[in-house]
Amino acid sequence: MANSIIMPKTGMAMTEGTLLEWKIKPGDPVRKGDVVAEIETDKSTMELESDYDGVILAVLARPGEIVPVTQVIAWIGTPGEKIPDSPGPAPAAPPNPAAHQPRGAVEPQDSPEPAPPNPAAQVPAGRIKATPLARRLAEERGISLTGLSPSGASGEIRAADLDRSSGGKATPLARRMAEDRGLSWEELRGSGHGGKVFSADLDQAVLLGGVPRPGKRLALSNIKRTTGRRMLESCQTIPMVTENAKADVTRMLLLRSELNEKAGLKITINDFVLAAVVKALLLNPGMNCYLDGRDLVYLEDINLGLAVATGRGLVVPVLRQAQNLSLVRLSQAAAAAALLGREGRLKPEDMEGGTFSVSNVGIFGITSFTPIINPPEAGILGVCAVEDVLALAGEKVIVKKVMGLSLTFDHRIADGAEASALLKSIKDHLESPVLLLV
Amino acid sequence: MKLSQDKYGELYLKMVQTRTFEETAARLFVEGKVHGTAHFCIGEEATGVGVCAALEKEDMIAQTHRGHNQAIGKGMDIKRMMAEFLGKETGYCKGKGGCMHIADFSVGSLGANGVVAGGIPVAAGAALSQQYFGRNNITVSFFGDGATNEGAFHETLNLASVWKLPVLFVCTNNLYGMSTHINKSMNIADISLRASSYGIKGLSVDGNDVLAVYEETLAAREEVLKHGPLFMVLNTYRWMGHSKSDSQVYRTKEEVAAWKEKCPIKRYREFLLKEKIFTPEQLEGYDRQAAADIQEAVDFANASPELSIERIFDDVYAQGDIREQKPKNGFVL
Amino acid sequence: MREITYAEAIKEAMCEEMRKDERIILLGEDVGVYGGAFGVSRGMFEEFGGRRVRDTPISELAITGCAVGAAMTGLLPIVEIMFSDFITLAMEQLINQGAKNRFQFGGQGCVPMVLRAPGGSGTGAAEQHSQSLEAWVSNAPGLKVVIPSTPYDAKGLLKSAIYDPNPVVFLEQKLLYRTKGPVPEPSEDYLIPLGKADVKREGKDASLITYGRMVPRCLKAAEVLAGQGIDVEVLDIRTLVPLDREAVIQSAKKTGRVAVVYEACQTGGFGAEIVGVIASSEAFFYLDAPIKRLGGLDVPIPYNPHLEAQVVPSEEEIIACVKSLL
Repeated sequence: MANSIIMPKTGMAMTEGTLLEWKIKPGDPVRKGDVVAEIETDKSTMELESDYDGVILAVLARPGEIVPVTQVIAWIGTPGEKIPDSPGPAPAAPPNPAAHQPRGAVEPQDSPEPAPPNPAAQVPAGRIKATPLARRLAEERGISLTGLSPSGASGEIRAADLDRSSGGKATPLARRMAEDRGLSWEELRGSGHGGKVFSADLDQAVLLGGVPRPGKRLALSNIKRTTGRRMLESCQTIPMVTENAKADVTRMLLLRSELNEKAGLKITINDFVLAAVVKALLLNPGMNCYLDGRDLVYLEDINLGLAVATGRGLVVPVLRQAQNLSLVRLSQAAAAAALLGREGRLKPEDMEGGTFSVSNVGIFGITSFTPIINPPEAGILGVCAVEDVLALAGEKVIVKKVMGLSLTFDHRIADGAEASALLKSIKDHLESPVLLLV
Repeated sequence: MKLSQDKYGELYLKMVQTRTFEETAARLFVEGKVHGTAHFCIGEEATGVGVCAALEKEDMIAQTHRGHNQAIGKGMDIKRMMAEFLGKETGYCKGKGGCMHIADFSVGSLGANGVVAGGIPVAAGAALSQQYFGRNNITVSFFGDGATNEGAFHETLNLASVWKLPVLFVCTNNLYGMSTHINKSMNIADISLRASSYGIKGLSVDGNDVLAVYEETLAAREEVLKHGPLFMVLNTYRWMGHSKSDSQVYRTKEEVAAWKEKCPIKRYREFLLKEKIFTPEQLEGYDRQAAADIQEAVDFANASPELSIERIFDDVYAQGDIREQKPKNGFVL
Repeated sequence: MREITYAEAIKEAMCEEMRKDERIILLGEDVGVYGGAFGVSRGMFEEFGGRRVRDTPISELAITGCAVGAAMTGLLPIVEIMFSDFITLAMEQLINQGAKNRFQFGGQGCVPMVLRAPGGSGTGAAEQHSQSLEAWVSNAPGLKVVIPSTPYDAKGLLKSAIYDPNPVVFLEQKLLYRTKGPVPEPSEDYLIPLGKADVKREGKDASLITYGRMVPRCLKAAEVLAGQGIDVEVLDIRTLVPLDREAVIQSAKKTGRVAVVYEACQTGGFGAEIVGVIASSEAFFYLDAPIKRLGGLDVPIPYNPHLEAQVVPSEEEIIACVKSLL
């Protein structure tokens, strides 16, 4: 089918332009991007490029002629191809299709209203009319349908309109320049017809610093996809309550320093928390369970999940039978699990069977958050930063070290009293850390 | 004509089985254990039983929707009939056809038909096969008085006559097409007269006399084998309504009572006793056997599973190619 | 390859198989010495005699029902109904006794019969002799429905239909009876399985999905469009039941633009089924234009030749229809 070259509308106020000179004559082969004419607008003269490959079939304007914008001034196509008649302003309103179009071209309409004469101009606001193919391709390519010029007979966006949007809304020169400079022209509103981007627009945009730089698109890592799915499921299906408390860990920190110094150990603050959680769960077995359908499954062992950030996403290895581990052994197990996690060497079964998890964001100075339960576990303890607070000891003002604890629990498994008892027990153990050594 | 003891007994047992089957079916219906409908031939037992008793095993029949007597007469399995009535997988049609479509190709039953006169052309087609392959058998086409007003009846009698097909057309005239008495639906009193239009012989027989039906059919069968179709009308009466929903406003209680007096089973029983063919004890033995057979059928049906929906497509289309298929009992596949 | 007519191809299929298989018979009105109303069975009576090529009374219902009974009991009958319009007279037997037979009797037997009947307009035969009733018979589970468009297809499909264990309605096209096409010598036996569509012309820009008499018309339209640089695929579905859904979906996915062309009245026509298959399949996501249905006008076929020609899709309309998709 023959394609038209029109007098471009290069500015809001432009209504007509002057054809200064043809650079081609009928019969000449042209390629997309070739300059075919020079035109003059009320502001400047500019070169007019071909949007198509083909042969010039006809030129419809003489040099010096003033032509209304959007009117066809030349046709490009294959040699011998018939040129559509009437060079009237484009897009020309087609005749009422119901009037004399052959059957089949139009399905019978129940509605008495005739089809809109120029549907393209009447695309209603709101839902965008597009063919299924165009929608699918737009989604696959991440292109928004908004703002595309529809070419379908009923004003629908078709697949070709997408191609045009990524192949036709900038001149080939502008596209090349954008590519050379590592710029993105797609989001630029050009000065040409339908927002077509010219090279000048690109220059201008660079001067104004207005060219958005392309971002980067990366698929979610497997871990992030899985974590995301599980977290979403958790949020959508579990009635979660988060309770916050503060524990005075002054003594715990002293004990830790002493142990690490004198025994040459590397026990972390988190290890103390893990130990406190184990003790607290032993004392509050009602929270050491998971929900399986309509049943609560209580475990004899404390299988404690440990949230580990790996750089590729979050993993939660489970420390099994943690009640049998001394603080030192627990510390070693946690370190080993975290290492396996960071190295991506955890097996799926290493991350199953937990009833309760611990997630520590204290290192980032976070003072409180709402951890999300790792289903089907009963709860998760968020461990926050240790802060200095002033307190009165008798009549003396002292500095205490206080750690934030955020416990989220599944309200189907436990009620507030049970969960609060657990949280209090954790706090008590942290505040009397010698208990963690026995 | 003197029959063997076995034959006398077979006629009696099958009539009683038919009646017990239907009375039981009617009870199950009233008890809400049956979904759908049923058409009962109580009062007409002598027709189907008498005709089928005169047929060879390889002869075929095409039954009507009111054809439990025809089905039992031809030797169908009462258990599978009852299972079909209750819509079970073990039924003749796997519960897909119901009582209106019971068929047993293995005993030469081409199937009961829900469409009045629908089976008449089909029976002629079966007779065409018998003639074509030189089988020395006939096909009986059963239908009611109402069917003789259908085009299928007239077209088929004509075609069968032209082609001299070995088909015996048997009209069970029970006087009513649903609620309409034959004197309102045709302008002749004797339906058998219709045969003359097609150049075939018409007979009118007392359909409540099982021995008359049997003997006439025996003779008719020979004639059909030699000379082609014959039309036999068996005059009888339908005791029950057309179907389970019939309130019978179109006839009087007196009329029904008068026909009940002519009960074919009672009549045959009196004959058997009078001629001392069987003792009362022997006949009661048959009655007990029939009751036991039907009870066994009900138990079988009740214990049977229903077809699962996964298998609903099984029999919509036959699979494969019948290039090398050989007919089994005259039937294909 | 030699060229024979559509009618000759049908006769060849019947004759070749009747020579091989004694079970096959042909019955119908005037199929004997007369050779059938359209001459399809000319010469068959002479070869096979009145036992196998049977003239019948004018009784479409009885003929069809008789074929059902015969098919159940060992014969492989081919029924010729003089005009497919007269299937209406045989409908009870064809549907209630034939199509439902195997299902309603719990799979006990089958009905291996073929009902041949010519359909379509264009011969000045007016309202009662020109209909295209394929949609009626396609709505009856148990029946298969075939509409061949070429002599080659007619022969291969009829042979498959004869040995198919189900009742097959074989809708011939009156206006195609005299058209010629390549068909292998009788010595080169071949079958075309039921349920397989045929791409009669490959193309990438749009698909014309069609059957029967509209196939050659669509091919001509495609040729004209090819001259204008539009590359049209023509898919002949050949068997309406079972329908080759996969082929329909593949063609729609390939071109993304589909027009369904058929001669029967548009409303409730078989074209709607094809549109439905596409619209409810993954092919939907490949569509770049609404699916067009180009059926006949919703009127009985008129007698006047100018009117008659205009109530079914013309080549020009098919061309315009394709262009409206692009």
